[in-house]
Amino acid sequence: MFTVQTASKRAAVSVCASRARIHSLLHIPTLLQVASRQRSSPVLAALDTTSFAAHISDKQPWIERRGFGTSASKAKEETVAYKLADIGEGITECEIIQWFVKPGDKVFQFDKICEVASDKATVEITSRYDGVIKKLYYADNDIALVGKPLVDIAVEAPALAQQPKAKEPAVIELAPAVMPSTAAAPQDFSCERTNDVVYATPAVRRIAREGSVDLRFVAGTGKGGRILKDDVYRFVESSREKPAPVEPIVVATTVAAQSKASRSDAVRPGSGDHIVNLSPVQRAMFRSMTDSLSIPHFRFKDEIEIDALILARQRINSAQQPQADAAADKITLMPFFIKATSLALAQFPILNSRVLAEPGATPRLEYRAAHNIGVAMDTPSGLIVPSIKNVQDKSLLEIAAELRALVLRGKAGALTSSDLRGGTFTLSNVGMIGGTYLSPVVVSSEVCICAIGRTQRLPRFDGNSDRVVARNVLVTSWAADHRVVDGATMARFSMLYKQLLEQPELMLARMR
Amino acid sequence: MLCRILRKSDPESFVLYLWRNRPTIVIGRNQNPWKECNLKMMASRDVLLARRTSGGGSVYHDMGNSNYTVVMPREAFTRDKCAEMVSRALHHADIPAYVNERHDVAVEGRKISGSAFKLTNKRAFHHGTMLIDADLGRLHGCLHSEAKDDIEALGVESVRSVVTNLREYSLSIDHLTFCQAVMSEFGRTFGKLDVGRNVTVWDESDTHVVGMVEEERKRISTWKWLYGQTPRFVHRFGGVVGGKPVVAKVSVYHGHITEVSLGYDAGQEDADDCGVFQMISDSLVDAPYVAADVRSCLGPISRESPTAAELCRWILEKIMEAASGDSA
Repeated sequence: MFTVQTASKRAAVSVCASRARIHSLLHIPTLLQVASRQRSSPVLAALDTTSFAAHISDKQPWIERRGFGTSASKAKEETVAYKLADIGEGITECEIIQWFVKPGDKVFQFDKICEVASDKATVEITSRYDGVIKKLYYADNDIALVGKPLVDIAVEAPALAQQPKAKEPAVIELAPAVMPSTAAAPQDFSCERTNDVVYATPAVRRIAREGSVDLRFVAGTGKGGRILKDDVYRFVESSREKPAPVEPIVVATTVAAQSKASRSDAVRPGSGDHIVNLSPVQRAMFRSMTDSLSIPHFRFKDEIEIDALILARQRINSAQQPQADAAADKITLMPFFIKATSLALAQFPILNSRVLAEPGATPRLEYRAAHNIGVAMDTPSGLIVPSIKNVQDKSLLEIAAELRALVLRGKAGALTSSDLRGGTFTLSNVGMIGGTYLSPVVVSSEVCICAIGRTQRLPRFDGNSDRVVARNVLVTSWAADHRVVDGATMARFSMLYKQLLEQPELMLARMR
Repeated sequence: MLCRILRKSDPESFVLYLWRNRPTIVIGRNQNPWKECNLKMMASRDVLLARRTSGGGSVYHDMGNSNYTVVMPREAFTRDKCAEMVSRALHHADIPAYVNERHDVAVEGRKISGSAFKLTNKRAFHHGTMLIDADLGRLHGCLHSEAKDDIEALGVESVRSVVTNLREYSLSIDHLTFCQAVMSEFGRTFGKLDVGRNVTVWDESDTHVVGMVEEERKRISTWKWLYGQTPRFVHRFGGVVGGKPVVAKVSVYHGHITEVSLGYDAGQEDADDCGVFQMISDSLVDAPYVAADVRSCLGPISRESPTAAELCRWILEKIMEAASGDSA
């Protein structure tokens, strides 16, 4: 493997943005497959947490328990008249449809007690306590009144004493994905849990807070993984026995901090160390980059002087009449890059192919007729790569229109699966953000990728004279799968591409 | 299927489920099928009966009616949220829908969609119908029971509204366009999900789904679920038998007769009559409230005496009007 750098006189060498950043920002193939397996985005959950918190406190009076007026009794057991709580919506009475318990049954917190129905809703009423059912106040089909006793439950006294009389939301609190640890001491992460939602009653949470315990790391032994106070005590005991705790490992990469992606995982500077889960986009990147870096990369970089291209674009744009159809809008340089790629691919079809390498089978190459050029774009959810299909059959203006439509869909988060699937070649215009010399990573379902750096106005010698002129220069950085593409092919392809862009009339000569 | 989605989906997720089915009357969880629908007409016009697990009133489904369900975390639930979402979806199809005070979706004062809800500890769902191009004649026929006024029942009574089809307001709306409109509005309302990526379409070729559906179907087609889950009710009716005005009161609990009390209006029973009344009553206790079963119970009694025969015939006639459902 060897690298070829075309020698050229440069006044200054621009240092690109950190390599790590570019690597991670570039192309995420097969995001589609990953995303379609997601049931729902954690971004969504985190997004709505704040509004849910409001919901919990004011829209959920059903879990409000009015004070029972029982003091902590010294007796072992206490019978509590569990009242039918307000199920909301101004309903004062409802019919008992069926009971799930009978006197003598043992119930745990969150077990179903009965089902009631109001005019349009059926509601499952669950127990707030662990205990034994002593008495049912209603029979089947009776009308139960809100605020009046529903069942009598015999509860253990200490549990009762800890039920707060305050109007705190009792049952479920959503712990958002990122919570700055309030504990002073670092945690022992040998018993990690990556749950974002923790089930524990307020009493248990208070104990945890007092003991500086992060509930996300406590294994719950109650029903449905609920954390009971014994679990917290046990956790405290066990962590005291362990040796000096390990430094927490921050999972989120620094890339996440800088990209606009993953709202839920934004690391606030200066908030201290904490662990964060990867967002769906990051997870996809993680998987795809892991695949991609098993490919040996051949790299080729070259400078392109795009003054003629800029002029051509200007001419095309001034000839565009403002009309109803989208193809008449002004175009950017990107459609040129895309079309030039396709024209060059006609000469070098191997760069549009795909490696089929099943373990155990001999590797083969799949040549593809369609040039579906993927264009990396930065969207609110991160960097994704939709593709423009069949570029070989499209005109510059058609490509421009499609590109515009994709960008709009990308911004709105409305890209479809057909947009994201089926790419055969990738172009990344990350130069829009920054960077001159880039080392893009080949997508594992393709064999070649091109990253276009930013355009710079640089001094160059004019022809063979010693006269220095200003030129618009941009650097294209190619990478190809060196298992199937040799250096000469890549170099020739790059030379053709450069030629097409530096002399746009040649593109015209090749257009069908 | 709905219950499975309710219980097995991710607690934080929002799920939209769209479907439609063969002609069926769906009654609410604790409704009375004898009171709500005309079982005789349903049998003759091939309309099935189903009971759902959420509350509310009776609705008519056929292939011109589309159903939508939104499953969401309990805290996110409000009655109007989904109805408003569906209204907005319809606005995109140029239909001026709105949510009325009964939390139903309506157009120009007529109801096009009914809703029902179910809430559990952590999740809740809202489901609703949408009349796109349904057979309204059949709807009215099946949802009107002859015995309606005679049956005194607990449980929820349907509130009748004037209904209309979306077809009256748009020539281009159909099940698919409705689904698409609702899906995109769902994506907009509940988060920036790229709805296109998370859509699953099920049809007969999805064997694992078909298996699940078949299980559920068996579970909810039992007589015990359909009729036996009816709360206590009393069916009173009167008539003239043998020249004398008679009143009957049949008490039914969980679909089975618990008591029958007969009497002459003017209180002119004699000992024989009382004997006959008693026999009839005894024979009918514990019988399912279905015409065929009642007939077989009354068979032997009717042979006792002409009066008995007449009474039995009359009772059977009355019950047949209401209770022509399938046997237990």
